[in-house]
Amino acid sequence: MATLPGSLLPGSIVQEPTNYRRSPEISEFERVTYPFDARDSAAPASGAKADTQPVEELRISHSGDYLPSFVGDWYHRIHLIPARIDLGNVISPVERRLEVWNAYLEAHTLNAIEATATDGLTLSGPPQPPLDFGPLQTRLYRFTASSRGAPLIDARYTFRFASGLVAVLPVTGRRVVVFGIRPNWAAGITERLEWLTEVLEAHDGTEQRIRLRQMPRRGFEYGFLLEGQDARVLDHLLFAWGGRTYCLPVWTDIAYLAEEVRAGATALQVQDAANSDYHPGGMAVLWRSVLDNEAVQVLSVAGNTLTLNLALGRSWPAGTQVFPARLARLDGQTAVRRPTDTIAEGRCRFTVEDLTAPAVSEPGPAYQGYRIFDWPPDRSEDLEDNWQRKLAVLDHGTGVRGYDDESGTAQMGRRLAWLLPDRSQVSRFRAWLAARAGRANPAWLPTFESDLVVTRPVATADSGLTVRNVGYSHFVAGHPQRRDLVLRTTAGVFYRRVTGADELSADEELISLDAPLGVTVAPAQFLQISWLELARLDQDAVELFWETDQVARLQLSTRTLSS
Amino acid sequence: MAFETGTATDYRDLLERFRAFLTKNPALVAANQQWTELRWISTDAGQQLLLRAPGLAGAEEIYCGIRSYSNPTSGYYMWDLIGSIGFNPANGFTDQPGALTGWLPMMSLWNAAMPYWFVASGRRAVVVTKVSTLYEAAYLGLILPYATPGQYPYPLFIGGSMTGQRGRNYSTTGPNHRHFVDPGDDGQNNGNTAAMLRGPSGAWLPFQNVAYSSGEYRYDNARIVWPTIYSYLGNLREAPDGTYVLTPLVLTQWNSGSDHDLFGELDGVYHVSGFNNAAENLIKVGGVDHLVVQNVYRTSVRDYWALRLA
Repeated sequence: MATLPGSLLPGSIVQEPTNYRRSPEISEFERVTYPFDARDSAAPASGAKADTQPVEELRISHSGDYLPSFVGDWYHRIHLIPARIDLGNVISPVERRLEVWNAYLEAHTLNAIEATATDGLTLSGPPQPPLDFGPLQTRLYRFTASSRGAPLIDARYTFRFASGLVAVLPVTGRRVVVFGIRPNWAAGITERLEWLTEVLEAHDGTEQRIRLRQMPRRGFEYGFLLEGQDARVLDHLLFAWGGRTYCLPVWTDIAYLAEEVRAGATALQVQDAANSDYHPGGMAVLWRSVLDNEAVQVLSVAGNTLTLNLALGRSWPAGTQVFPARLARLDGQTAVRRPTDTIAEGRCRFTVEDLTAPAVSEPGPAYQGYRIFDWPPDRSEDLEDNWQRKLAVLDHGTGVRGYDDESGTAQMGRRLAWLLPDRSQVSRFRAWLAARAGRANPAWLPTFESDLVVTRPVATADSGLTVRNVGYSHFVAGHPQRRDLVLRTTAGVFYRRVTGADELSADEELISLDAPLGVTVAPAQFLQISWLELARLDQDAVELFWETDQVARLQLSTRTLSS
Repeated sequence: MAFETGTATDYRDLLERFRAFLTKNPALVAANQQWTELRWISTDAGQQLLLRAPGLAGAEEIYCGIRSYSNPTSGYYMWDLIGSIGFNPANGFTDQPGALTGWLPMMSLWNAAMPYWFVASGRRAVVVTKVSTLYEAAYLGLILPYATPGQYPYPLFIGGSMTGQRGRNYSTTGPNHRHFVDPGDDGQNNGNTAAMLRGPSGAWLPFQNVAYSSGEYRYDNARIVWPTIYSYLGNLREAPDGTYVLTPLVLTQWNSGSDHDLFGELDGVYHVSGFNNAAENLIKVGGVDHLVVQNVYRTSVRDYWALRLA
């Protein structure tokens, strides 16, 4: 124990003043006389310190427990990161990184990696087991899946450690094969979109429509004509993969590589991507021949640039065809005719498996709560109207037959056809069809006929039209299903509702409108006056017939509703 | 991993013993987790020790340093604690690559005998020492992050007992003289604290529970240590069966009332209730002793923590 020298500083004499608050008995001080007696003052006194440091503590033992925390989630276990690998559709070699982390604070030895169902899969990187994992040590493995191998990937990797620890990595995925059999354009390609609607019709003809499918089903049908090597490839493509999912190029949405794209590139330049079937997460096919093609996955689409999620495995020369692609399955039988021993001719029908929601847009002016579809049909084939009544016939066989017109109105069905001359028009029409969703959603549809003929000029403030007598006031007189007009004039297009009609003479009648036209229009300026009908499609399935990769035809039947 | 206790004759002897412990302790050497001495300078003015820890698997490089100095006139005997991401022999103590800048976490010691407890693994070392009847502590090395080694590879934490310059003597009382388990600031510069973490972004992040201005817990602070920030910790007792609950110390970032980030927890360091408890008690969990330590001079129920002596 250390002994340190110390001293006390001298103090001064304490000389208190008289304190009157003290009792006289104890405040009597004796006067100090000079010189001091040494005993009267505190002299500096020196002392020694006995160092007691360090101080011993009284130690008590307790028992305790740890409060669990996130540390238990992170540590004291073996982590495989990611915990499972879903390869999705393997259309080209895929590489993933696998991290094996010994999150124990002590070392563990990896004894073996047991693998099952690993056709076409490889795990590489660190040395073969037995392999020591130090405390908190992490090792990176490279996991690759080639596009050759079993069609369904369902593999398991079991990491067995010496201490009995086991970590399991499930790997799932599918392999996709490109159906590179190109169409024979002589017969075009049919694209089919199928919505599903339940229509509940009431006694009076009004109806409730319930949309049953969120996304339309989609299918393609086309013919092919192959010769030689290609025909033989077709055989084996059908033989091996007929029951599985193909990667089907959307043959109608063709684009070309303007210049060579080298191996390792992660972007492709295409044409008219906006009107093609590319979408993020979807696929594209680079195509040169039935066997010489490659499927790639599209990460994002910006303008005409497709960004791929993996670099291209090889170079593709300028002029290579590029198609968007869909996962599709062969539907029904595929009949192949063999005119000679090297020629194969047939048709194949596909249903698309990776559906995406189509773009929805509804052009045209709004009118009375719905949009007007003002897209004149193609009359290269005759349009056709058909008139139906919800007419119940009561026939007991013995007496007079009775009739009951249940709804009291005619239902007008129409068959209309359109010719869409380019891809942007097809896209617009497709978006309008998506807005209809089959039979679900109605729109205003003009009859596209010349239904009325104006006989006198219409002044700015006139709220009526004088037309040639067609018996409107006599027969129809503002019936809810026939009271809206589209007036096509050289001064503009007007949409008006008829509020009344009067027969002026045997030749003329006056149609009153809900609002004046606002301009003066002479009879000769009227180009066409058609009735507007609130109508829905009378079919859930729509077929787009592609004559070429630009031109498509389609035919729709419609049916009026009471507005 | 390795543990040593004893009595050092003064602050310089303590550093020499710590240096010998980290580089030569048989348990560390046996596990191949002994630390490498990168620089050792010992002059009358002070000592300087720079170290590299190997990690648990020997695959890491963790850089820490300590320097000692004194001012007998003002009566302080200090350790400065530092961490960096590398070592350059040409650079000084504070100029190492990626080193902690500003006021370093410190330990305020004295020039007399001190009992000490050293605990170390290949990842981190903790020092507890008793000066008079109060305790000083330091933490040098990695925490256990709530992340994989790939996500957060270098969670270096440098914790001490004192920060800033509002008094350096071991007898200083105030929020600048608190252990890293429940750190405070010195009110001069908001970044000054004895608890610094190298964050996932590579920036040094200060953690503070107590404001200097009011001496109160500040719940508005961006980075805090849980659970020592918690208001009602002073009401915490032992469990009904008499055992004590050791709560991990979690480094937390407060983004909003409902959004907190948790960086991870200190390795082998826990909060424990001070109820019926006192410094240097031993709490046994699963056969391993944990030393109860008080926060410098504080002895209220909330001011205790425990250090795993293994």
